[in-house]
Amino acid sequence: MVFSGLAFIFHFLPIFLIVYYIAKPRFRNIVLLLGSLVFYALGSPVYVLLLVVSVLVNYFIAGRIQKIYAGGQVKDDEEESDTDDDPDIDIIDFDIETETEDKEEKEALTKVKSPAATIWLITALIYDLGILCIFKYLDFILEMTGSVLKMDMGSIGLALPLGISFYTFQMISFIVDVYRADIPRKVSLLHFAAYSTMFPQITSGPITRYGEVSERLEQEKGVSPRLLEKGVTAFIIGLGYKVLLADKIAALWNDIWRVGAYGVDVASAWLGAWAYSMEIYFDFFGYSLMAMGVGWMLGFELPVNFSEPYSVKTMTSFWRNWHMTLGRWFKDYLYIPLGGNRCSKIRMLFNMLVVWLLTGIWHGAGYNFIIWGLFLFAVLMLEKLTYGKWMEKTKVLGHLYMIVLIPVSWTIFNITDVTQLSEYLLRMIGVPLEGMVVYGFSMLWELVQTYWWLLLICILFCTPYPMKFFKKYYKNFLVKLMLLAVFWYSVYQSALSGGNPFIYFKF
Amino acid sequence: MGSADKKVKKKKKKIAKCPLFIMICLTITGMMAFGVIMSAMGEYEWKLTWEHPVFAAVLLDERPVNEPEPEPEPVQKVEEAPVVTDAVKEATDIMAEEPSSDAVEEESSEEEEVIISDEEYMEMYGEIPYYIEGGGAVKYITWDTGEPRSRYYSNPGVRPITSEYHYTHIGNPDYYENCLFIGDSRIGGLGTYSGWNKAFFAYKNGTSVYNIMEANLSVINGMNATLPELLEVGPYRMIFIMLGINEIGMDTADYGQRFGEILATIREYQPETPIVIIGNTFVTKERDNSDNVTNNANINDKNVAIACYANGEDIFYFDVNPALVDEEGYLRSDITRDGVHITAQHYHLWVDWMNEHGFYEGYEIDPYAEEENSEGTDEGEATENGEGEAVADGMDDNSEGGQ
Repeated sequence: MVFSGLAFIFHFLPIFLIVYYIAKPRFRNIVLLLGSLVFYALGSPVYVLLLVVSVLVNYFIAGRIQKIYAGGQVKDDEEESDTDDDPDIDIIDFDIETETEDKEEKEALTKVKSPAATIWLITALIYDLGILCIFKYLDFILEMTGSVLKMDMGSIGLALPLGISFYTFQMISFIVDVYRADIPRKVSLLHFAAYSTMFPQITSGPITRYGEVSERLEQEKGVSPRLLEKGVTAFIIGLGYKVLLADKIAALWNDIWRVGAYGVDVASAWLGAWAYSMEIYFDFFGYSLMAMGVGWMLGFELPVNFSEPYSVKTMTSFWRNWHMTLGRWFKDYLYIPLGGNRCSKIRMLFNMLVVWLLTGIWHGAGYNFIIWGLFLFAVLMLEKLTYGKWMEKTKVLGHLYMIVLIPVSWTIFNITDVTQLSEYLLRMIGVPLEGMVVYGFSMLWELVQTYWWLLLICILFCTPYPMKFFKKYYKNFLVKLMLLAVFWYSVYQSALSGGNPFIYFKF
Repeated sequence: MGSADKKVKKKKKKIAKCPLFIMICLTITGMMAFGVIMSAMGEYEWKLTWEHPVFAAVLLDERPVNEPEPEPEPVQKVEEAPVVTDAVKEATDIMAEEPSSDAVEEESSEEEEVIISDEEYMEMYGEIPYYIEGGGAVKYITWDTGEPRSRYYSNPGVRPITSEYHYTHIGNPDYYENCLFIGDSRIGGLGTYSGWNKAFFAYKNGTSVYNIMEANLSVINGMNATLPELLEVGPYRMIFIMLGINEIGMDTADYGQRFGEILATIREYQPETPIVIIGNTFVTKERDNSDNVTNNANINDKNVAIACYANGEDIFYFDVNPALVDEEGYLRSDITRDGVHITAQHYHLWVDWMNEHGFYEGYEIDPYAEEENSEGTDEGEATENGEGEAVADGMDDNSEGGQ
C-alpha cells in the first residue's frame, strides 16, 4: 500500500487515525502496533510473519544483552541520555572528530565487559544480515558464482519482503545501541515492536533510532492540534511532490528509456538523466515528507531525511543532505567502528571504500549498484584528497559540477543492465553506437516541446525556494487553500493513474 | 454550565488550530456523501473496493454500465476449440514464414479461417456507426484468449489478419511521400526511426481515440497541428492509422465505435485516399502475464473491434505482429524495454514488414510513374485492385531483381 494511493489516504489512514485518537493514550502504542502489522500485511501478507519473527528475535537478544549488563556493573541509568542527536555532528562527513565522539566510544567500550554480550550482538547481526542476504542477495550471489564458474546455479526466486532493508537496519541500530548501552532502560516488547514496525517508516524509512521515538512511545502523550496540522501539511506537500512532480516527470525518462540508447541523441540522453534525477528526488523526498507528516499526526518526530540535496556544490555535501538517515547509519554503525578517519590515510580510504561499496549494494542486488558505489567512492575520495574544499568555495562552478555529476550518478543507479548502462553512458558522452538510428536532434526537440513547462516547474522545485516558502507561509490561509487544491488534484491524478509505486519500495 | 462552556471553547480553539485538517476532513466527507448519493441515484457506478473509494467514481466520471458486457460467443468454431498456445503458435508460424506472399494468408485460410458476418459483429459490438458496404474483407483465424482478465474486454475467439491484397515489395522510401501516419507514441517511434522522411507522422504520446481529434499533434519537423487541420490540407496519397494502446483500459465496444467515427471523419475530408488501419501490436510475455489490462487478449479484442472497418477496397487492415513476435506470439522481449514499445534500432522490423506490403506495384522501379495521372495515385491503386494477381506476381519478381 503506497502513501499516495487512494487505499491509504481514504481507507487505511482515516480508519487508523480515528481508532488511534479515540483510544486512550496508554492504548495508543497497541493501536499503532496492530495498525502497522495490518498495514504491512496488506502489502506483504506472507512476510508479515518474517517481520514478527525478526522483532521477537531481536527483542530477545536485546533483552539478553541488557540482562548481562544488569548482572555486571551497569552504569546508572539516569546518567545516560540519548547520545545520538548531536546536531553538530555531521551526517556524512567522516572527517569530523569531536571529543564527544571519543568519549562516547570509550564509554561504550568500557561498558562492554562481557564477551557474552558481544556474542549476542554477533548472533543478532548474523541473524539480521543473514535474513537480508537470503531474501535480497542470494539470487545475485548465485548468479555471480555461476558466471565465475561458468555454470547455471539456478535461482531461489524469493520475492523481496517489503521494507526489509530498512527495518533490518533499524533493528541492527537498536541492538547496537543496546550493546553500547545507549539504551539503558529495559525496553518493553510493545515499545520495541511498535518502534520496529511503525507504519509511517517501515517501507522506506527514515531509518529511525530508538532514542528518537522512545520518549513518545514511553510517555504516551496526546497529539496536539498544531502537530496534527503540521503533519497534514507535510503529508500534502509530499503527496504533491510524488504525484504531481515525480510521476509526471517520470514520463520524460520513460519516453527515452523505451526507445533505448540506440535512438537517443547526446542532448536527449542528458535530458533523460536529468529527468530521472528529478524523478528520484521528488519521489523519495515526497515519500519522506509524507512519512514525516504521518509521524507528526501520530505525535512522533521522525528524523529528517533530506535537506536540499540538489543545491549543493560537492558530492560530499550531496550525501550529507540526501537520505540522511542512511548516511548516519553507515557512519555510526560501520565507518566509526572501522576506525573512521582516525587512522592512516590508506586505512581511511579503505574504510570509505567499504562504506560506499556497501551503500551501493544496500540499494540493490546488481552489478550496477556495485559500480555506483565505486563511482561514489571515487568521486568522494577525489573531493576529500584534492578539490573538495576549494569547490565548496566556488560560486557557480560547484553547481555546474553537480549538474553534471548528479545525473551521471543516478544513471548508473537507474539502469540495472550493465550493457544497456554502458551504451547509455556512451551516448551521454557522444560516442556513436554501431547500428544507431539517431536522426539529428528531433527527439530533443520533441521532448522539450512536450515537457518544457514541467521541466521548468521541476527545476524550480529542485531549488530551496519552494520549501522555504512553505516553511514561512504554511500558516497563511491562502496557502492552506492552495494545499487543499494540491491534495484534491493529486488524488485525482492518483486515481487516474491507478497509483505508481515509490522507487524506493524495491529496495 | 461554566465548565461545559469552557470545554466547548477549548474544543473550538483546538479546531481553529488545524484548519487544513478540518478542510480536508470536510471535503472528504462531502465527496463521500456526494458519491454515495449519486451512485444510489444511478448517476455513477457503484463500486467500492479497498483501492477505490466511493467518490472515485465521481472523480473519474464512471457511469454505470447499463447492459452487461456482451458474452463472447464462439463464432463458427472450427471443430474443437484449439488450445490457446497452439492456436497462437500456428497463427504466428503461418504468418512469420514469408511475410510478403499471398500464399501465407491463403494457407491460413484453409486451416482455421473464420469469417465473421456483419450480423455477428453487430451482436458483439453493438451498432457500427461507420460501415462500408461489402465489408468484411479482413479474414480471421480462430484465437481463443480464454477467460477475460478484466471487465474491459471479452474474448472474441478470433484474431484478424492482414487484409488480402496483392501486395508488392517497396524498395524506395519515397513510396511514403505525402502519406499521413496518425497515432500514438508507436507511430511517433515509426516516424523517428523509419527514415521515411517524406511522410507526415502526426502523433502524440498517450493519445487515444478519445482525444485524437482535439490533440495538438506533433508532426515531424517540429510542426504542430490538430488532426482536422492536417486533414484539410490533403489530399494524401495514403493514410495509416494506429490507435488503441492508450484505450486499453476502456470498454472495447466504445473504442470500436470511436475508431469508426474517426475513420468517418477522415473519409469526409479525404474521400479518395486509401486508409490503412494498423492493428495494435502485442506486448511481451512478461507484460502479458503481469497485467490484467495491458495484455494480448485485450489487444486482440481491440483489434477485432477495428478490423471490421476494412473492406479490402479503400480501407485495409495491417497486422504487423508477425514481424515482431516470438514463436509463442508475444512481442519479442529482446526488442523492447517496457514490453510495449519497440526500441529504436528495431523499428526496421516493422519497416521491413511494411515494405513487403506496398500497394503500388512498380513503385520501386519508377517512383514517380504513378503521378503521371495528375493527382491520381489513388486511382492507380483502384485500377490495380481490379487487375489481379498476374500483375502483382510479375512485379514481385521484378522487385526481387531490382534489389
